[in-house]
Amino acid sequence: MRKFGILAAILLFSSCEFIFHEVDNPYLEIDTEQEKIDMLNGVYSRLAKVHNGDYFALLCRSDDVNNFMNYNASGSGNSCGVNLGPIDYPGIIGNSYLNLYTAIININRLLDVVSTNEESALAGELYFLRSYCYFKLVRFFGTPPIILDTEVSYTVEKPTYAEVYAQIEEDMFNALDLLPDTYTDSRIPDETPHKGTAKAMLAEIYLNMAGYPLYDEAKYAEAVRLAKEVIDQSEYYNFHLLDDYALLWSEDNTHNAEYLFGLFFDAETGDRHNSIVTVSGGHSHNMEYMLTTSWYNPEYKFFMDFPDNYRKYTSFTTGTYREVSYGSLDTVVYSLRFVPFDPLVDPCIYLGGASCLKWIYGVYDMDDGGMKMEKTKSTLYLLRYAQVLLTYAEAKARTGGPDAMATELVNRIRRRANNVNVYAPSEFDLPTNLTTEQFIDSVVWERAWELAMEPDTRWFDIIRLDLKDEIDANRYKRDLHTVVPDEYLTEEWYFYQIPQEDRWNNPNFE
Amino acid sequence: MKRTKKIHFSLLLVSLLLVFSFGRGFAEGELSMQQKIVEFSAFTLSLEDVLKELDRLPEINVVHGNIDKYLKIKIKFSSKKLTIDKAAEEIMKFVPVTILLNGNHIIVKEKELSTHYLLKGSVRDASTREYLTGASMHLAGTNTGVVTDNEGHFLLKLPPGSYRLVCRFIGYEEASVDIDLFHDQTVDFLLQVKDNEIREVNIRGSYTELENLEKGRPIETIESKTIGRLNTNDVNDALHGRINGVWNTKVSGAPGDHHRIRIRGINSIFGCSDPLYVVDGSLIPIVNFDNIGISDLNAHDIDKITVLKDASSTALYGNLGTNGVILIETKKGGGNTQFNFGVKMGLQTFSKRYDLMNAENFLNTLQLNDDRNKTDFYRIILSTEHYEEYPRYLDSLGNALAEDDFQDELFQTGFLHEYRLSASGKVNTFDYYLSGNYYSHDGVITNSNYTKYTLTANLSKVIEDKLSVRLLYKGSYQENKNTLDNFMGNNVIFKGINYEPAYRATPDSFLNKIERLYYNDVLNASVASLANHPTSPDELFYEHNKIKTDKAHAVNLQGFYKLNREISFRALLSLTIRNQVNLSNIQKSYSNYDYPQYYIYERDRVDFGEGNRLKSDETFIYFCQHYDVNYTKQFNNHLLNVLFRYRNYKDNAYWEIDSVSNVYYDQINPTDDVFLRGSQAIFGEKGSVLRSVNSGIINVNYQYKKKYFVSFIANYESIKENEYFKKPDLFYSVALSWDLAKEDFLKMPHFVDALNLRANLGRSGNFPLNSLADDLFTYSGEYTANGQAVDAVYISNLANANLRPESVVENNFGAEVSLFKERLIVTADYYQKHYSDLLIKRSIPLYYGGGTFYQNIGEMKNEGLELSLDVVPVETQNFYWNSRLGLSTNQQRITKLLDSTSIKFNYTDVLIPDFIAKENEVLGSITGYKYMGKWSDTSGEMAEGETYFNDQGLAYLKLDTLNMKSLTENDKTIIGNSIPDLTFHWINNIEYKNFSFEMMWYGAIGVDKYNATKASTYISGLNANVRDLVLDSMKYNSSGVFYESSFFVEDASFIRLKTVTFSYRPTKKLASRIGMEFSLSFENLITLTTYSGYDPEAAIYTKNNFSDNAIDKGAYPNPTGVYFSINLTY
Repeated sequence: MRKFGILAAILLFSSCEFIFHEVDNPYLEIDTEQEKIDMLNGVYSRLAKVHNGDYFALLCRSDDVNNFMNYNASGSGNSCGVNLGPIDYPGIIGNSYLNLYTAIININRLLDVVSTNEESALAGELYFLRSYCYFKLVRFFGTPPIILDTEVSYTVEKPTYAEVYAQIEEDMFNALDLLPDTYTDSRIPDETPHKGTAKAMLAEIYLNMAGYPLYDEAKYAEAVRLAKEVIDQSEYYNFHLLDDYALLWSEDNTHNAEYLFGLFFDAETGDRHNSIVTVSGGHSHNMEYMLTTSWYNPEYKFFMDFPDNYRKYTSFTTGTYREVSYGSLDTVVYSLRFVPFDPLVDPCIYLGGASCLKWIYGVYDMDDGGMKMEKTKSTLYLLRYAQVLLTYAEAKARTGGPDAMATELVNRIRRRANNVNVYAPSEFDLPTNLTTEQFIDSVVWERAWELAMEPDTRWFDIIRLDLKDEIDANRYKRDLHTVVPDEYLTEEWYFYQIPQEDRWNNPNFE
Repeated sequence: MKRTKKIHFSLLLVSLLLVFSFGRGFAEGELSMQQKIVEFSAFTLSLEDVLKELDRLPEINVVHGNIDKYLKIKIKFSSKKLTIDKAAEEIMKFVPVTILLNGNHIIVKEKELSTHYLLKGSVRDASTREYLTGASMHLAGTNTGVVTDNEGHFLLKLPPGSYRLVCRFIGYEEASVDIDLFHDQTVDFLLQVKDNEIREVNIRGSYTELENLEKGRPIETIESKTIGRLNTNDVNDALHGRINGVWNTKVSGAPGDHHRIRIRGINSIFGCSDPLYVVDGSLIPIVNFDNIGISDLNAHDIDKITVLKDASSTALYGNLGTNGVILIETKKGGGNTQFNFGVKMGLQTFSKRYDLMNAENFLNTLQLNDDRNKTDFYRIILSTEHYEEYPRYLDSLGNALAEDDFQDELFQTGFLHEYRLSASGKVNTFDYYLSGNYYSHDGVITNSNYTKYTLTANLSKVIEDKLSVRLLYKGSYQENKNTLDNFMGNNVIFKGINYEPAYRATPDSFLNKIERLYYNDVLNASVASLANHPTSPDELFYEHNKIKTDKAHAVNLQGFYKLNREISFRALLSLTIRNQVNLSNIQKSYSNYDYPQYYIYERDRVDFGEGNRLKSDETFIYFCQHYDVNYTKQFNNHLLNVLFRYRNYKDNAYWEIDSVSNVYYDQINPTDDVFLRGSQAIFGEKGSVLRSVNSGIINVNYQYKKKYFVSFIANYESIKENEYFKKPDLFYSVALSWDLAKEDFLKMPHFVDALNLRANLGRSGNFPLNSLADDLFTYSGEYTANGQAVDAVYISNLANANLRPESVVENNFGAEVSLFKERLIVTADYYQKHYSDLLIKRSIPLYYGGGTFYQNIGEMKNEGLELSLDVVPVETQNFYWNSRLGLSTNQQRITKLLDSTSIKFNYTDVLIPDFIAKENEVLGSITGYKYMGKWSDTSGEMAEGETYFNDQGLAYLKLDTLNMKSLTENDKTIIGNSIPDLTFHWINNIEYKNFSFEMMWYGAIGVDKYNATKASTYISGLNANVRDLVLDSMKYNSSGVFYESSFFVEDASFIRLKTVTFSYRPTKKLASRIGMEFSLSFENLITLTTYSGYDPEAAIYTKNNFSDNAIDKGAYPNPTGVYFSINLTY
């Protein structure tokens, strides 16, 4: 017996596993449903990371909508007493690039383990997201590397524009095959994509493919077809315009019928806030500060040209909320009050013009003494129904002129902008005697105003319509500083160079 | 009888006559008889012949009584020519007779015999002079015998007579001596190692399996005697300069373990190059970039150190063997009960100083610089008020501080003391060895110290000479305080040397200094660190605390079973747990580097109070088991030995960083201050890595006629790291050896004992624990879905699925000649190592999500020559002199890099030069700008085709002709090499009676070092040479270009008298039972070098194989030490 005891002790000792300490990483071999969902959420979290305050540095750089508060009107960068340092273009470009690719790597890894038969909805969502990521990449970088696996390669070939778009199209076709039919069947109702959203997104992609640099004009018809399908079935998909434009950014209304695709947030801090209006710098956040230093201000010309209606004053403010003290001899009470910008008091801010309110409204809790939550919980729209309507209208006009439906859709947008009944004819409708050219022009501007300062919208239009020269010609002198230094741009001007690090890593992209 | 008397009488008469006639003649005549020279016909003669020969001498008569029975006894003379006096003395040694010299008569009569005489003596190893414990002494043809004691001595009490004493010891040639015992005699045996035979497995002996491999392979050992003589606590000291091909640099003089050991060159470009330690069969893990070390051992407990240098022997260790293997065996018990108590005390001092300006000169110089350049950059007000307000160099208590600079404050007299107690012996059937040790060491830098406790127990039991079991326990506790250098260098030295004595006198000047630094080098970690200067010396010395504690427990269980003469089994299980905690309460830093112009004066200091500190906690668990079957067979001239082994080795590291709240580290990475091995630690998280290595090993050794030896090793090994890295591989080796001296046809001269030629080929691998740990790293965040917080996981770092361990194929050709009965041994080995699949940490393209991973990217060739000379010029009974010289050279060349890329190690820090790994380049090249002297000197005469760049009056070689306006990266060229061309050691060991003396010289030749310490004194402006620069009308400021140049690269070759030890062991014992030994030793007594810094040997740890020896950036210098110790043995 004693011998057996010794033997048992030796065996126990020799196995020794119980002593070791191992921190498991369950995501190395993704096998459970939950692990897949966690990594899918990782894709969304990366997209949320892409769309932070810095993102506007990409968007505003050369468009005619977004200003860059860092550079004030004088362009000297420092005269407001607020110095956020020079714009870290490499860092900002790198951040968006890296996070989009991190999302893609997550998707690629998931596609290795997700079965298209048994988990078609999941697979469809992954294809949709990858298509979307490449759509962003192609708009920002022109010819980004196409990565469809997780085997690191330093010799990926530089693709052509057409190859990138072909990939985007293919992924979206897969998504269309695999995604559930309606929003009620989608993985998370009212949030994750379904066939309707995929069609709308593809219509958007086609609209871009039809313009610069591919000029594949046949795609306008495709865009019309897809947008029409979405609009015709809008009741089925539960898509419609909200009655009140301001409601779009209300924190009580994060899930609504105008949402097609976007990102959701539910906290003021940590990763779960909408960081698109994050103020850089780390100073105390009050609204005054937010409005004056966020990178979330329109260009002066854009603001001046913006039609003076309900939509303008819902989108922008020319004053600020500021803590004002009042009180008696022994008490001082602070209260947040709206104070219009006063050029005598605050020349810089005044010259800087207006601030966008779309998400900032959400930042302020007026009930709580009007102060400072740091971040907004508002939904960040990456595609909303209004855009689909305008896409249809423009694409239709470009394929043989606008029809009645196109005109009606544009008018609905215009009616809501003026806060009147969306479905009844009004004084704000487009004139009926517009030529096709004029119609298109008004739709393009309607897009700019309707979607003002929302991610990607105007800048993608500028690229596809090749508006560089037009913008340059009309740009106010005071807005000139928003042009990005050439060293970060490709020869085509519209696209950023991919980050230096990757050009070193892979000489094909030099 | 009558005749004798008559002669005597006549002699007396003659003598008297002589005295009277020649004055002093009487005495001379008397002496001339006694000291008359006799020349014998041979060294050895029988007593009969001796007496005959003496009788034949003129004027001498031999008379003798009845001594017939002794006439045949042989007498061995020390010389053929002897005085009669001496001859008589020698005769009496061999024959029990009394010899009287009386006038012309030699009277020989029988001596009265005692009943017993003492036969005593010692047994020693002929080559190492090591006393052998447990050698058996046996009288042939009798049952009488004895075993040598712990000191290798024996004692027999025997009746008079003739005997043959036979001495046997396992592994040695048998020796015997014939003795005619008629008086007390001493016999000392020197046993020759029985090296032409495969040794039979000894059940009490070694648990390293190498007995049968040492033949024909370049394996070297250090025995406990050598280690004991060194009288050190640090096991690595024993390896310092004693083994050829081992480049052991004591990179820091800080108390504690600070050796950097490279066996046969650097074995990796970017991976780990530290050797593998195997302690009592247990493998010590290599974590990330370095071995976790053997500082938990006490050198006094070490029995034997064996170094496996080449791949033909390290193939046994497969994936862990490339860097060489150091096998350490601790002492075993047994023999007579013995207690040992030792005390060691020592003092250390460091006296070298940089030439720095005093406060007045410094302030004057800055002022001068402003005057010359028409600037008010330094804005120094040298008003008398200042001096009155801040009396010069007084601390807050009014005590005077250093007059000239702060260096005298920095260094102190180091003190160390050590106590140890050990017991060994036998209780019932158990052999035991128990040892406890306390060691405490205050370093030569203020507030640096090291404390260590160790406890060792070794129990073993032999059952019926068939089964032996052994249980070992080793426990230790160590505490290092402010002794650990890191990437930033030793902050106390680095900052202390630049501590401006004028600071208290003129605070403004100091702040301006900081500002000046910031303007130039905002992004420079070193400079920022320099600027972030403590406000008082107390803060520098006492508030800057980095404490590392290390606790270790090791349990080792071994079993051996001998089935029969041929077959035996062996099993080993060992488990070690080590825990290291790093605690840092350094106060820093400027809160924001972005706003130098606004925030410069606001020293935003972080309070690292209780619960507000930087802490890392790492635990290493390692486990090793192996099971052997050993088969040995001898028939006729053939000898075969086969070993089968299964080995399983697991190591596990996990770590945790307890981060500090509100600490804003910007340029200075927290990991630089908290010395962590886990690479993942940079994420400030928890992590772990678990590795398992399974090996199946076959080793076949075959020997024919003791002349030819062939050995093969095949090791099929599978390595697995965490869950996602698995790689099986085959490691192999072949060793051939041929003893030419034993060949009859070669007709070697008789003084050639052996002439061995050997050829070896082997393959082994290298794979550090943890290198893969950050691969396929996923990161958890959060996202909001359906209004809820959900986990959001994304891949932040992909893995390399095709990764392979690094491996080396090594050829070794060696020759060993032993001459004059091993009085002269010459060994030469030439080796060539071909590395492949060298790992490099490479950044992953951002389009794969970024991060870094390891890739197999390179190939390297490394060749070297090792030459050693071991001479025993004098060897007599009382005097022994051994001199050993070892030389080794090594050269490495990178032969291939993937895509022929060159890998730059480009540090933004101006005090860290760049390094480059490039195809067909030597490893370890320091890269920087080439300083060409002062501009005025060179502007007139530029060499053909060479252009220079002027930077404030200094000239640099311009290589980039495209951009002439500034120095660019392309202007950097190789300005030095940090790997020595030649290292050597020379050891002299002299033993005279009870005294012994040893001295060891160690040197490294052809090695360059970047002296960043000196460079920092140029940045701070304190260096005395700055005044010259300013006086030369140069605009002086701390431009970065100046610092990454060859201006600060120095030849750090050195020759050093590393140790000198005198020891004395009185014959007389204290209180009859207690033996004593006194020893006095000196360390680093003499250093010959042209290096201007503190210590040419010291360097900082850069986490990079080939820059590790290249930078002296506040490196802790090796002090001069004197140590005294007493050892008592009972």
